[in-house]
Amino acid sequence: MQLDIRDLTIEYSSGGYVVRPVSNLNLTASTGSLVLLLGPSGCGKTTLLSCLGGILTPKQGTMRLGDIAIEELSGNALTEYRRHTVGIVFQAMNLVPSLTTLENVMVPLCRGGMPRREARTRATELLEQVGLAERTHHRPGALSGGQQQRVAIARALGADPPLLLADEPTAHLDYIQVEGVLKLLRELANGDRLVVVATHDQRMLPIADRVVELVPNVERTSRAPERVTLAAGEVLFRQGSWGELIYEIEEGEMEIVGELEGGREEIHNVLGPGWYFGEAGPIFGLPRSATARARGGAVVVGYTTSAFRERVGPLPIERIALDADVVAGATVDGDAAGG
Amino acid sequence: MSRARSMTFLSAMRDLQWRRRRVIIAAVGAALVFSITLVLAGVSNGFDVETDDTMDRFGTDGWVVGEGAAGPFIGQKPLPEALVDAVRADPGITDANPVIFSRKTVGTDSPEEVNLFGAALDGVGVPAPDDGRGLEAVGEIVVSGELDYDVGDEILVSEEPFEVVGTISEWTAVAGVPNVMITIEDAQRLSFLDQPIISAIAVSGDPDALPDGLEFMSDDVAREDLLRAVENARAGINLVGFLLWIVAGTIIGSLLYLSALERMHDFAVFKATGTSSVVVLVDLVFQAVFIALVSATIGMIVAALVGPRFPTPVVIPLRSLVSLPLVAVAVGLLASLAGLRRAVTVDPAVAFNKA
Repeated sequence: MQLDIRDLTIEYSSGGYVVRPVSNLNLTASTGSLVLLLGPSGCGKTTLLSCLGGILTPKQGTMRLGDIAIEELSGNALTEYRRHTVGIVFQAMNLVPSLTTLENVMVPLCRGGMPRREARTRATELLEQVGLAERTHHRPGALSGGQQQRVAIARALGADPPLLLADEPTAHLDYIQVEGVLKLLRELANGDRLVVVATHDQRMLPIADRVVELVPNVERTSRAPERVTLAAGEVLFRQGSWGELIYEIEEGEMEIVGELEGGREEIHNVLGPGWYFGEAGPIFGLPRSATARARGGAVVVGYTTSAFRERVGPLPIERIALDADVVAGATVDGDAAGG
Repeated sequence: MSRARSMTFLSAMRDLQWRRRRVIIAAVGAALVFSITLVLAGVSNGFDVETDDTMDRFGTDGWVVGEGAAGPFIGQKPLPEALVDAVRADPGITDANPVIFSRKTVGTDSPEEVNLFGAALDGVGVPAPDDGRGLEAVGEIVVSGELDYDVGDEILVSEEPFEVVGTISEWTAVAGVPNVMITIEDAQRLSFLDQPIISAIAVSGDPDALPDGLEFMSDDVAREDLLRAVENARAGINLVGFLLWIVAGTIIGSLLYLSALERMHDFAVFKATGTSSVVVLVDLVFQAVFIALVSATIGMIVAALVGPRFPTPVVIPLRSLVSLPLVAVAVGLLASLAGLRRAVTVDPAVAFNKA
């Protein structure tokens, strides 16, 4: 069985703005392997796992697991997919605190139609497999973080799913617990099972068969400034895209535009010659939080972060606010732009 | 589906155990409200039971009252005593006796209100005593067992002494007020300034043609007349009972709403792992039903213990005992709608949140 992701774009609304954490992603992976989705917080790892788990629906693109078109599932087919085809290990473990370890594993099995006695046997086997045979009657609160994570893995393996998704499985664990969880995930990625792990933990790199970096390798070194001539209405960069350059306007005017849900726009600022914009993305390693578009014809010069620092000196912290791409912009001689 | 349901019940029960302190507090709170509701229903029903008992003891087929009177008791229109003979002469009447009804007090240190009946010495309209004997002469009285007097005791009625010759157990009317019975002559002296006036005529049989100015009244209408004094109290009790149902529903609903809010993450995880919305709904419905039934059961026990201590007769009707669990479940479910709605519509994506 193979996981085949084509041209996948995931988009959702947050505070009225369109957020596009995953854009035009292509990925192929086969069972028996462990795929690592690597990237910092907010880069779309968990969002991608949600789509693979049949919980979110992508804006466009396809996700095929064998002959299952995940993005087309709905109703009972989706419920069956979640029950039998995919297992999810959540970052916060999400064990039900009122249930014992055994019951946490048993309940989803019974709800999937397995007889109670059989579910108990299966749950016991799974807990033995993850090394918790002696803790079946303990409640989650009595387990360590690593033990809870292993129970969560046992629960996800209940239906022996061909696809196992793990969201930040090493978060909140000490190094001893991390070791156990890493070994377990590696062991599980064999035979007819594909394991997809979302993490920002570089320690997981050695156990991966494939690493997918969800953040482009943004240029950090200095290079010569890049002059760009834009026609009226031409887009320099789009909200949600990745970029390495901070721009200064030489001629004309640039509109800083927020893309809202429903295809609407909101103009945050109009900047003229001598103003710079687009600094937050490259500095913080984030996608662009707004679109930059030439109002009339315009000429802008793009600088790498280091080149820009050499040009203007240290950036005052108040100008690198979270929404700097949206509302900031300042002149190279230090005048703050409106907003 | 039954397997899924059994595990739903397991997880629902485990959650109740997990939150046992607040569940116990809410269940006990709702139970107390249910018990008060039951007791109030018992008080309201007690009005009917004591009235029926009092009416049965008269042994009448009906009553003859003054034309236009609302009844022989509260709604009486006093009649000349001489009309009793005219009624007895009616071929449809087999027996007829005068009856006087008024409210008096007995005792002196702390006077107690009583329903005073003036009655003949025997025949229709004369309650038979359970202990002692019936009236044979003026100056004698038959009293309710609810009064603290025995046969042979002296009792003051409106400051006049009477000798207790008989008692009737649990003989009350008009919200637990004890009844007493004296001769017609004594009653006329106490209530009608010794005039030959009566309240009504108790009869056996069905009159063919009554004298002018009189009309026949069935026992059912007479019963309603005796209940007239408590109708306002009954309406108030029913209103309080209705409000208490809302209070009980609010207690159960609050518990389940809070529970649903706190379990939202659990429900999201269940959904993300393939649990249908219906199963999530059944989980909370089971909790609502369970708490409502436990509360109703405790409420019945408390009501059974508290009822006898009430100053008025508390006779909890069987229909209330049967309907309490059903209504409690309905109220619990109704009050839980907000929580149910939130639980069913929870987005499984919430499971990916950090807590």
